[in-house]
Amino acid sequence: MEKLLFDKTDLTPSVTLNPQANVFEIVGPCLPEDAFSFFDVIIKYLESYSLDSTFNPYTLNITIDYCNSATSKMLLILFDSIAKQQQQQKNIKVVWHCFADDVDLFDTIEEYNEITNVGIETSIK
Amino acid sequence: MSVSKLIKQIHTDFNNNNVLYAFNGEVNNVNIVAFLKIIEGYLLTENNNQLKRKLSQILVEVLQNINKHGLNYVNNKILNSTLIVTFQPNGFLIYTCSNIENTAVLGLKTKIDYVNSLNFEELNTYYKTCLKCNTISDKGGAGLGIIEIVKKSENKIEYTFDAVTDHYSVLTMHINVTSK
Repeated sequence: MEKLLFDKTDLTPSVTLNPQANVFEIVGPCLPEDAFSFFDVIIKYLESYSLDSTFNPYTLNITIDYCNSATSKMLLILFDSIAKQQQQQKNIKVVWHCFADDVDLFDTIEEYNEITNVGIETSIK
Repeated sequence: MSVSKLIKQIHTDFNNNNVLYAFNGEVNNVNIVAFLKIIEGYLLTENNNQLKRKLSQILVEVLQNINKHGLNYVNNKILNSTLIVTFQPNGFLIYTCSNIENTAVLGLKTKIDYVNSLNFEELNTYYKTCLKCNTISDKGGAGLGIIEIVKKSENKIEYTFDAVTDHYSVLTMHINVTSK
């Protein structure tokens, strides 16, 4: 599949979904006005890739230190979608890179794991 | 009051109240990002990173709520909003003054009162329920902003609504941002 790249803007993170290089990452604060449109493309891309004959196991690396509440909702939809792909035996890992002292973010990740069973791992940056 | 007296009064009041940042004008997504960058710049020497992240996150919610749900124009004229952030010994205070259509007052008041009435566990449960069940509205919101503000600030929202005309009211909000 062709890679999907979004440059970072003041309101949105950089997004790299590159199956050839096996790099999947979302990096930066996420405050889009239209969170639905921003994430819908990402969710649909990853769903298509999970069904593609070239699919390889990958890790989605997330570095979002803060986001708006609409993004919180769209991240839940993203993780729910990935959890369903995992149930279809697709080997996908999600790692969220956090500051060690970011208690609120650790709580948020725990909530996503409770709701979706996606199994987000954390990595201290 | 003359402008020179006014500015002296503002200067004194700002210093007496430890004002970190103040703005009066149109709130939109361009200047929300600018506010965040300026405030983060002022706080480079603040050691409590968790508190700084809380402040940024809550400011985003408060200001994007004003941008999305506030009444920002009447008869093609901008209705200004006001933002003041002050230092406190254990955190920050955020004050906002914005405009809201009278038809939206009851819904927002009911929502704030309900969220304010919840204890910590109830708030977390309500947040998770709304996170799961709410959908993204036509305005792009997820109905989570007020809950996020109370959850992240760890304090209730103080507010007032004051009718200006039959069409709209002024909403003041006062949010105390503290750290665990």
